[in-house]
Amino acid sequence: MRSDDKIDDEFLQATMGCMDLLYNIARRMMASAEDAQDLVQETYLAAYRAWRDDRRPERVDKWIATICLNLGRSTFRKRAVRPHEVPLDTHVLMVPDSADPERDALAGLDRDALHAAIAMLPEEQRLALTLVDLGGLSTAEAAEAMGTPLGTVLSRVHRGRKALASLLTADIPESEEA
Amino acid sequence: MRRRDHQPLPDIKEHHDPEMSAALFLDGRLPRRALRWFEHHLLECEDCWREVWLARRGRFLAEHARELAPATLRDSVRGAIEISGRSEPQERVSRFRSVRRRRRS
Repeated sequence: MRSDDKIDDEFLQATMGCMDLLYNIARRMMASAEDAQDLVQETYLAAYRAWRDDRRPERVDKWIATICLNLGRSTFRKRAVRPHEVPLDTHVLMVPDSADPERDALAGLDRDALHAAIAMLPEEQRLALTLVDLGGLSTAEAAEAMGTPLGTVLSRVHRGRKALASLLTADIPESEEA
Repeated sequence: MRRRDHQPLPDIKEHHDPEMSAALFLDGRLPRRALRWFEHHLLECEDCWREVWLARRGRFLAEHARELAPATLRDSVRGAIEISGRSEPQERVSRFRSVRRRRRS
């Protein structure tokens, strides 16, 4: 039988690499950095309890991200971020004729404005975007973590990216139909 | 000016959906034939070009929003795990809360 210390070490070794992933998820779900830290800590404790009960996953990052999402949606729901959501459907966008959309995307961009724009996305888009673009999960892994079909996650990530780009790109002119 | 005509071809030709085509393209999920077709199609279709352009830009922005977890959080989690491992279930809750209070103060 393994000692508690050994279990602790195994757990920490397996999961501490997921700290940034969890923190980014939590920051997109919670209103403050402190609440986000609480959510991360709750997540680790919940994961640890499961680990001690021999419920150990093949892929730790997807597993612990799922725990974080579920905890964030339930236990912390009352304190969660409820930003003004911007339906992208109301924006009909044209794009400048630039070959490289990434080259100047960050030019003059305020970091707070970036985070504020992400907070304005509809929740499911924000979470899908966080898991994939900030957390580094594949869309298939994000779909499992969110409990939704792959096509749904693909769509949410795509729409989230478009919404983010439109919110932060001042030089996108309105189309004539808008 | 790019043309708006949509060349008939593989899967994505049957139901031309710029949004889903762009999402599949950027996620690397288009089969080889469809990928070749779509890359060519992008040069001719304003709608698909716009979808890809915006999504690439949004992805780039999102990736730059990544934050590192504070070092103090790592310490708090390690501490909470160590305490939790040594405590009885009822005790864990109060000990965890006291760790959280210390972190907040």
